[in-house]
Amino acid sequence: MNNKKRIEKDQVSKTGLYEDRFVLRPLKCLIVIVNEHQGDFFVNSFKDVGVSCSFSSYGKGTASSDIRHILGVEDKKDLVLSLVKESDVGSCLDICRERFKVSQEAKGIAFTIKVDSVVGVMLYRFLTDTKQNRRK
Amino acid sequence: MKQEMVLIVVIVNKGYNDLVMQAARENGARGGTIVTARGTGNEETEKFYGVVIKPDKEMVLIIVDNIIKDKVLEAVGKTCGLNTKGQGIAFTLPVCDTVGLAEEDTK
Repeated sequence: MNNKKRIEKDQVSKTGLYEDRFVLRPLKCLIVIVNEHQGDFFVNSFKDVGVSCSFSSYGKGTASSDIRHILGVEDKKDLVLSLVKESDVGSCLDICRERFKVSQEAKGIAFTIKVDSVVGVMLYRFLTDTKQNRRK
Repeated sequence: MKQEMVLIVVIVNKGYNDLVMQAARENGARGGTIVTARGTGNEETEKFYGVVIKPDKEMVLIIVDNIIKDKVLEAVGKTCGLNTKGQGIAFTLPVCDTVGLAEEDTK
């Protein structure tokens, strides 16, 4: 009996769009570009703030190749891309700001881009760490 | 006044990032980052038009001021647009907050 009731309840609650029924917390895409090997720090510290998912990739700087030849350096970069709740963006940027001050080697840039849409409620809840939906 | 920045993303064939950066620098951009990538063209369309799209690509990310955005885009389009050897695609995204960009000397 109980099970049946629950199923009915679920079906009722599943009518209508998620964004119409529950409070939404917008996401932003935070991109950090730093020197090689510096990316792990950001991935770890964003995790502590509560960011569910960060993605680290490899990139190159664009000092012109002539200059690079003369100096004999390859300016390799780490690119960290994470999806952050708007409320957490401030603390993430503070982490970046503090880290960039540490040394010349730790310098880099960070910026955010608005995220328009996300596919799937589960993914949205994972990214924003929404354990309980809040009704509007 | 708060400066508004935009992110310019240019996707070009491998080896053409120097050309992109040269065009961007001439119009006031400061620096950029290159990420290597692989493209996936529509094979049927490629056959139909007889165009071969090389899969090895480079993605150039440049952050510039909103004011010079159009100039940079135009220059990049001219030097590395779709009808050139670079076969470049360029677009811009609005950037909300930035940290670590060199403070502009123009103040």
